[in-house]
Amino acid sequence: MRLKKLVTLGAAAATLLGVVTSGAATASAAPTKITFTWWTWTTNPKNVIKNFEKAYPNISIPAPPDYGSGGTFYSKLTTAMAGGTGPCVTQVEYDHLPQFLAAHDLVNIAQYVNKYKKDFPAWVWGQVSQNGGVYAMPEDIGPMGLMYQPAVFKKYHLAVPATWSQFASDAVALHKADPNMWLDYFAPNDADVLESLWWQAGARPYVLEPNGTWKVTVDGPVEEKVLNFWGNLVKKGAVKVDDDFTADWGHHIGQDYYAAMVGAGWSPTYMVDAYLPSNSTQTWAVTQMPQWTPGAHATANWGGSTNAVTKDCPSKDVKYAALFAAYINTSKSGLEVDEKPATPAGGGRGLFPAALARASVPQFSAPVPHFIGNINALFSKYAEQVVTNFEWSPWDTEFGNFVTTQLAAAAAGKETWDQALQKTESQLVSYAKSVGYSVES
Amino acid sequence: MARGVKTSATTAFLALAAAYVLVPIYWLVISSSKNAVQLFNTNTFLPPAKLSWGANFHGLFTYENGDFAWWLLNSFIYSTVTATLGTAVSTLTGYGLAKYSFRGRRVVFGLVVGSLMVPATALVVPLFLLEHYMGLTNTYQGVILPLLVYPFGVYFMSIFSADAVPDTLVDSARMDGASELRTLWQIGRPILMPGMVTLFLLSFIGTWNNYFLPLVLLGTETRFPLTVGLSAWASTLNVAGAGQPLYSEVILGSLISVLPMLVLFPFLQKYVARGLTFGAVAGE
Amino acid sequence: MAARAAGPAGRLAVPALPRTSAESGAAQRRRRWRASQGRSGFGMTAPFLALFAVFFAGPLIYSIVLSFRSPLTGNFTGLLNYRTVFSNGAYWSGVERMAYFGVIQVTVMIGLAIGLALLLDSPYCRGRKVFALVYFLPYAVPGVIAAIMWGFLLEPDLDVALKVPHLVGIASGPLQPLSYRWALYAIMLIVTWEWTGYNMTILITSLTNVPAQVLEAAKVDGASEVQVAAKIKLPMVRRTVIFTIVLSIIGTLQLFNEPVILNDIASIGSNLTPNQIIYNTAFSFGNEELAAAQSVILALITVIATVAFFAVVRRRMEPLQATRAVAK
Repeated sequence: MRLKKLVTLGAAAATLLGVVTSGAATASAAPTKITFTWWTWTTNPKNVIKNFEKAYPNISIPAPPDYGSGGTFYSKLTTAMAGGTGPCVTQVEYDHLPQFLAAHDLVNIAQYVNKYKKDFPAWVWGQVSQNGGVYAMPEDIGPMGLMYQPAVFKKYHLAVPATWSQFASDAVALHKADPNMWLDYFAPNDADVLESLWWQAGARPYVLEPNGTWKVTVDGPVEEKVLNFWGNLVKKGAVKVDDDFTADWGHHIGQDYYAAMVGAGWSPTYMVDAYLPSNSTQTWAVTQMPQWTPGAHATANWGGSTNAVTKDCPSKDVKYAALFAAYINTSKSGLEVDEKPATPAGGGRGLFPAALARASVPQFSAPVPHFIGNINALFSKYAEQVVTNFEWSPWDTEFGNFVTTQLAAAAAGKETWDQALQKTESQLVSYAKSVGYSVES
Repeated sequence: MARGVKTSATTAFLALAAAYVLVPIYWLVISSSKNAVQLFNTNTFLPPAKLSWGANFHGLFTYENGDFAWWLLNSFIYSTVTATLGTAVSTLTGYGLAKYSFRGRRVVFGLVVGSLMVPATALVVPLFLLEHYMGLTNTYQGVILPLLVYPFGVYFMSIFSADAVPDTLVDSARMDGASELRTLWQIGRPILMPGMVTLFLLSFIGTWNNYFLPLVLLGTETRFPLTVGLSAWASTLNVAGAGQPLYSEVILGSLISVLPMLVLFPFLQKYVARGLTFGAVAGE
Repeated sequence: MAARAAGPAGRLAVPALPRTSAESGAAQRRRRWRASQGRSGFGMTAPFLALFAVFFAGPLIYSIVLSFRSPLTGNFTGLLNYRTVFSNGAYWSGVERMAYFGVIQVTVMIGLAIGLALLLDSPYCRGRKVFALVYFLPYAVPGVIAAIMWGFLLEPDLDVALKVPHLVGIASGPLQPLSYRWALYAIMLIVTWEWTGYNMTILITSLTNVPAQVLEAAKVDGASEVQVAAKIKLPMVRRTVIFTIVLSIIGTLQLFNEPVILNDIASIGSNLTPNQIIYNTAFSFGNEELAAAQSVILALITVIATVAFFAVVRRRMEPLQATRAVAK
């Protein structure tokens, strides 16, 4: 008897509440309250959501869970997708798109987002498209350059390296002059930056041929040339072996171990400013990446993500999910949040947006702490010089797992750098074949 | 050699071994009283000038909406429920195998003993897939149910029942018209109680310490046991820029996660030791 | 799924059953009565059997089925996955690494456990109960917590003791037990810490079963304590020692918790043990079929290793039976 009364009261309250709130919703993109999940590892996602929900009050997105970043995140994503419990929209880096595409995890959203194609550099749009379909909205990119401390170069009379051979002689000279400093670090745990370095050198380790066969050559001549370049510097002690994005590596940056670092558009925020103590006197600048051919302007892309709509998104929500993925990275307010500093105070994501409209946001020209010059303009220029025909494979996770194991062994002196790549090649080819791909090495 | 020298030498060696065992635990207690700054700047093995237990406790229980309290509660839930139900099932099964004859009895027995040899690895991945199909992943029951399959417990209780519960007692209860289950409850249970306590404790500890199974089956933080939760925090320690590093939380959390067992151990050791040895000694 | 508390893989000790007799009327009644008892007995095992079928046999069978499926199409594909495992260098490096690990670590640990058990059982031991309790404490500590604790203790930035050899001039820098070269030994240190006390406890409880009169007789004969330990006590608990070694072998091949935690804290490598590789294959690569094949092979290796060990040891055990019969 009591229960029945409570239920009736409850129902009345709910109806009342419903009447009160629905009256407040004016401009809405959807008839009823829509909600879907978003997974990302970018900073301050709540502000991104808040900004979106202001424009679309009838769409509500819960705060993304914290599943780590990179490999840890993809593990969770892969497992969830295998179980059909994946999110509606998810962050996916460009190098992992083929993996999820091959697993049929992503939904073709071309009909909702084709109108944005002109807003992005052509090579970026190419990375999210396949066979006429569009499977993700570009979010940010990482056009590469070289970050360096001008004061250090001046102090030791070193020329800012325009070529890799200059970089090598600078590295040797610097460490000789100052044993507590290195020109840069080499990270055996970072397969992504290695692939980007290959990209810049014109290597194409993964090529999908017209007949559907993959040609895999991670131990090709260009790949070996690049790795041996770094390996030799490591052997001479001119470059420090340091696992990147670890706590120790962060401490080293704060402690001024590195006079320069190969970086991308997001690096000033995520590789320098994140680790400098407030009283640091380090001052950095940005220049073009060292070249293999003197006078050239080739660069590559390192990192950068997209937002993709997955097969686990209920079909009635796909339209709004695509809307969300597009809005947060093409609208003016979305870009503003993207470009604000990725700190609690800054409230933004510290991204270098893929969208060409990135320069129209005031934040774009704002000075970046500890950096001189308009670095975003520089990175924008480099974004146009990215080598265009690099392809990713569907097995980037596996490649990462295999190659980092071999790089660790080579860095410890257990094998040569060439052997590291050869072992990776044979493991990768054998694995890809076992999963059913047609592969040749 | 004189007896005194032998005793001293023995004691010295035993003390050295004891130091090997106790140093990490001592370190855990001392370090839990330090905050992050003190951890890196004071002597590893000495307490800091100013104890930070208050701040550390506060940090531990408030981080991420009090997830740690959930983990502590969850470990208790998983362990208690698994141990209770697991002991009940093992006792029932072991008694049934020992005191009755029925077709397939030897087969069941063979299955129990054979399954002891199968490593957990072969099962976790397909168990995850199977549980996903049944909708059991990320639930309490999903973690508890597989753990109720405790072949050692069944084996233990079957031998124990055979040895400790006389057939005559069971027969006379039957003559009096008691049902089989009633007989087990009234006659068997008091006799089997020491074995059941041992089994309960072994199962409790085993579940408290379990990492692989909950790691694979659980996705929501508030359902993690201490092992999975603390290791998740520990994994952020090596990641650059992951907010403030959780050293104090991980250390104090680890201490709290071992306290219940450590405190109970002087009382448990007798039972547990007997139970562990049982498997080795039985059949001799 | 339980902890390493398992029974012996040796002789089946099946409890004796009442015999059937001739078919008189009374016997007929008895037979029907026994049938109903049989049903009750079966009924009692039913809950366990149901759970066993769903949560043990089911996954085991599914695992085998999965291992024969293609990761891309899901169709039956024969031995493809097994061929992949056999050609996978990393997997066999892992197995080899575990064999190396086991030979060293199990020997050291069981040796230490035997030594401690004998010392505690000797007349020269003072404070036996306290020491026994102390050694058993690590059993209360979950493996991942032990790995976290030791992960900090073996980190030079956090543990001043690692810097001592450098300060004293013996080493060129602070000790780095978690570096590429030493990580495996660091894991040995941790695993030994975790399980020596457990094994020692089993041994010492077994030692209490050594008949007092045998020890008395030996003492009367003038045997020293060391001789008694070596020639009487140790052989008498030989079966228990074998049991602990078997458990340790099984545990070594399944090593997962400690390398995973240490890798998270100190990047020692994500493909050190077969179990890590299986986990990565299943959850990182999303390739459950290959992971199933890898698991099945690991299970087979474990069974073979255990059986081989028993075979080797059994042959040496025959002469012992006679001695024990006399002793009893």
